Amino acid sequence: MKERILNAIGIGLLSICFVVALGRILWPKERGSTGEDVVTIRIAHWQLESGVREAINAMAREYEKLHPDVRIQQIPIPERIYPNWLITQLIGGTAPDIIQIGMGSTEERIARFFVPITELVEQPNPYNKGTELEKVPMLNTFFDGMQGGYQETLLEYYSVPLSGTSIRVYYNLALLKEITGSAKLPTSYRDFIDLCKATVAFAKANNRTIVPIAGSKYNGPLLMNALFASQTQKLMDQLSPTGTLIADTTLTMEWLAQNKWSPNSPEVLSGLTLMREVSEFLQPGFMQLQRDDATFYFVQGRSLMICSGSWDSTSIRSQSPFAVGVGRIPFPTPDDPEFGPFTKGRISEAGAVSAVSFGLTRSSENPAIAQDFLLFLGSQPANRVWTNVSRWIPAVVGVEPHPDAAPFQPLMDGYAPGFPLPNQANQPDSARIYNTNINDLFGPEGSPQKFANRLLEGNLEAQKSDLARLIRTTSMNSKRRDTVVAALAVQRVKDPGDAKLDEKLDEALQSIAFIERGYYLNKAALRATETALAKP
Amino acid sequence: MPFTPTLRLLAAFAFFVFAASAIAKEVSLQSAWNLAEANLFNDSNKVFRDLKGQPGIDERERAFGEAVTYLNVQPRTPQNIARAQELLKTLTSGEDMYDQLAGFYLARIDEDYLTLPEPERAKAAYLELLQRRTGNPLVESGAVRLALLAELSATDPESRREALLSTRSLAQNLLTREGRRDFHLNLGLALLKAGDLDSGLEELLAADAEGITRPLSERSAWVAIAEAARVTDKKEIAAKYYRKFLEKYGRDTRSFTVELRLKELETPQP
Amino acid sequence: MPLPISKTKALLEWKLYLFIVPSVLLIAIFSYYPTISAIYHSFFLWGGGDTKEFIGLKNFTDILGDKVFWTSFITIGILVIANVFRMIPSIFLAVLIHRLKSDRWQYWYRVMVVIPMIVPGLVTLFIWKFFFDPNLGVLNAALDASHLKTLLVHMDQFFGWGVFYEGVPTAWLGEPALIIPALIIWGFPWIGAVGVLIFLAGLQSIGTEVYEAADLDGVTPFQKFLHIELPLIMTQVRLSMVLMIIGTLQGFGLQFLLLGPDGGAGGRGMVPGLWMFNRAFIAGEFGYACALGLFLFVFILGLTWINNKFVKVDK
Repeated sequence: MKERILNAIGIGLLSICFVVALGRILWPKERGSTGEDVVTIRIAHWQLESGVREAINAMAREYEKLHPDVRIQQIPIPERIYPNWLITQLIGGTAPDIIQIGMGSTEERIARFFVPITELVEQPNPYNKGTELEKVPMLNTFFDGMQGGYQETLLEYYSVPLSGTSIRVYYNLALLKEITGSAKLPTSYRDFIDLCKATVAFAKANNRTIVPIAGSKYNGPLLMNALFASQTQKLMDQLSPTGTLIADTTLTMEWLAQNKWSPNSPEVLSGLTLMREVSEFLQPGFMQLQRDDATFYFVQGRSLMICSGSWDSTSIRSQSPFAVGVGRIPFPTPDDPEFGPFTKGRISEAGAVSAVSFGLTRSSENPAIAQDFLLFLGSQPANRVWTNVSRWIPAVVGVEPHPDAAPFQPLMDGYAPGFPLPNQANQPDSARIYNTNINDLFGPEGSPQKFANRLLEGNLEAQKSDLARLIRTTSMNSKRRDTVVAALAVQRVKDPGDAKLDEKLDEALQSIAFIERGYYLNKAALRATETALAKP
Repeated sequence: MPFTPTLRLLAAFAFFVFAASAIAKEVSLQSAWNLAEANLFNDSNKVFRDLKGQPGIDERERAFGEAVTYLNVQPRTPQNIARAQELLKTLTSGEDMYDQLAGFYLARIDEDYLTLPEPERAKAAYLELLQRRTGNPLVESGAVRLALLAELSATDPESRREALLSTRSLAQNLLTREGRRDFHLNLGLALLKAGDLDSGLEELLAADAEGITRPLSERSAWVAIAEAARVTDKKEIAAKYYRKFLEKYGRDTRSFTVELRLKELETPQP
Repeated sequence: MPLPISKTKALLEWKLYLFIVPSVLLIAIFSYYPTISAIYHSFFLWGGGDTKEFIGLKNFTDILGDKVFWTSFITIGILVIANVFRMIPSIFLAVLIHRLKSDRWQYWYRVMVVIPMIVPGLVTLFIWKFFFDPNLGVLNAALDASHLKTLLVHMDQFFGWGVFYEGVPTAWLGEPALIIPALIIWGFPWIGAVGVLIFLAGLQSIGTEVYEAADLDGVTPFQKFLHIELPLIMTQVRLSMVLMIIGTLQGFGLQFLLLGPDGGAGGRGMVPGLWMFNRAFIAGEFGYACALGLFLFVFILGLTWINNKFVKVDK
């Protein structure tokens, strides 16, 4: 009898759990629920840094004041699992109404699962009414023309950005005062190095464990790569005297294969020397540390400085028990005795593109309301709330950044950066050669020449693999365009008066020509690389 | 085996599943083209195939649609490409748009879709189509491909320059603004890369005259024109394009450099 | 063994087979479908999305020229051999527990061995990552405090390793030469709860009369282990070894967490599973990664077959 009762309880519990689980899958409450005459719109993102969730909540509450019948629900997802979460949600048809586009968002996923908003953003934003942007097409109300929301290969705008970004050096002002007697930030490269040396001397004299710069495999390269690019500015001009003044990854790969430059070029060795000089002031073994480790170092007062993006500003400030100063990365000037010969000067940030952009999913059950909320997010009043709460850089023109965000505003006065090493341009195999050998640049046994030799050994093979991959990717992109442009071409002939169609076809043809040019440039670079490899 | 209630229930369930999966969709040529435009190639191809033999449907348009969607039906297999080729070949007899487009896509298949591409055959096809002076901007984009293929065909800079210059005469076959613009732009950039600044500059100026509407291409073209003009001592052209660039694209990493260049040009030399 | 039933009877009782349908469905969906999908996609150029292009055997021919993949087998070979030796502490502890005279103490020791199992493996890995921290890590602190660091510095100077320097914190995960030692050291003292329990189960099946006979013959404790206990638990040892080899060959979580997708400094930590992950999620070559996975599967299958056919245990 006792056994029967226990069995019955067990089966009962199991049945209840099963029914509840089944119910939650089949009838999820939160998906566009219309209970109590309230529509819920869900918005998901991966920005777990301090300030962002609060800012989105604040914008959501502002929207809800205007629309009491709408409720906005925020869904923050950790960065590490965001791509997997995104794919699962999109394919499963359970995606939130609005999703941050970026990580895990490949071109075909965007085309398949997100709604293009080009027609929407070509009109003025109704939420800009009463401002100077009232009659301005929405895409022109962003500092970069809404480039952050544009999908180049799909020829459409798919998302609305909220923020700008930049990279800076953060300083522990209290510690700075202790070391130097003042809170004045270094403005030149030599002052920066002198400050690092002073920090080392201070730590030794006071028997304290302090390093000048908190580093990790994330933070260290941010600083060092930026400094490296200052050493190839003049080289780029020499290699491409009538180019478009922008470093092109494929062209630099082709030049490498043609031996127009190499890891042994004086400019590159100078860049590596610069990186090594700075690395001596990061904590030993920094390349095995994670981003969080470096942040903890800094906020725990174990380092004077840390290099990171504007996206970490609020987190760092909120976790630091001391005042935090923010300064630009101090690039060597042309009159620097050691690094001056190869640099033109400080690097412009004018090319920065807006970020933290949100798109509308096709599976939204309330697309009109979700779209409306998206318009609100991209408006000047909402962006004001964004910068004031998150303390991140605003993306909309005419919005004054919060005083904490002001130091991060991109600075226009500067020269175009030189080219990075191809490995720094995120080509997987070149990056692998770079990342797995960079320890040869640092430490007691490391040197620029040793690292350069490693690159010489492995670069061309890695480059060959990367170019082959780039060719496959551009070929696939181009092939996808073939069918789309055929559709546009046929429709345009059938409906000759449609100006919108004309515009689309025109853009498609230009885009294809651009992609094809990239494809053939990659092929030329690959051929040059194979020729170089075939040489004894 | 007796047809028990359990079995009946299972059969009914299976029927329901299959019936429910037959979703009614709008089926028309326009809907098929809309799907293709939205990158939903498998769906589009299915609609084109379903429309076969239906009354009131332009069969040539339908066949063309089926063929071009086969190029991107997933997975992309040699069999699907062969199907596309077969369909396109049936369209090449006839003096209409589909004949021209079919010829173009057959050349595209030879250029990039075959396991062993046939670039020479593709080149010949593009050239033949251009010589027909169709006035179709898509067909005229073959001129861009011929320029790019010419650039790739040569290994040394001198031969590359010669090959590119030999394609300049293609411009006379281009009747559309889009065709001329894209051709001049790509040929111009290729000539600059090959070291022929004068010819490259001419081509880029011609592209600009046609009107480059894509902002990223326009700003790069203007900078390239200004730089090439500066180096070849055409100061007025250089200054003009530096100014144009700054007025329209002030927020660019190159702006500071362009300002300095302009200042240099505008400063009277001793 | 169950008695066979006639075909007619089996068909008459067909409804009973419906009870296994849910399990079969789950296995089909979550085990067989992904495997079949991986085999299918290994013949394609596939970026992980909807777009794929059939390329036949190209992925497999590319594997033949993949230097990184073949070099990774050297690393995994070293790790497999190291893991064989890392089984010894578990066997040793199982023997010690087994020899306790008190059943109560045996129980409590078993509990103490099992309790750490509730800590997720990932947490243990993160703790060890912290141990390896050059500046704040326990390992460097212990070496400094015990003056073993000085010894290592002298040995380094003698052998010319170039990794240990006086006054310079050792980057255990940042020096190519230290990557493999770090991968071997982690998890010290290498006592796995599951292993201990498996060996203990095997030891407890040994009859007391065997020990009594050994005592009468004047066998020493170590000889008992060597000639009685070890041979009689060889089935369990063999099973553990097979599972360990398969796990080591397939696994890459350890290397990924400690070293990143590139295998760390010098790529020394690159193992076949990690290379497969790298190709899929870093290079975006999912089709190629499927081909690598298939190759690995066949390789492990081959090893298992060899093991079953040629490694015999005398009962």
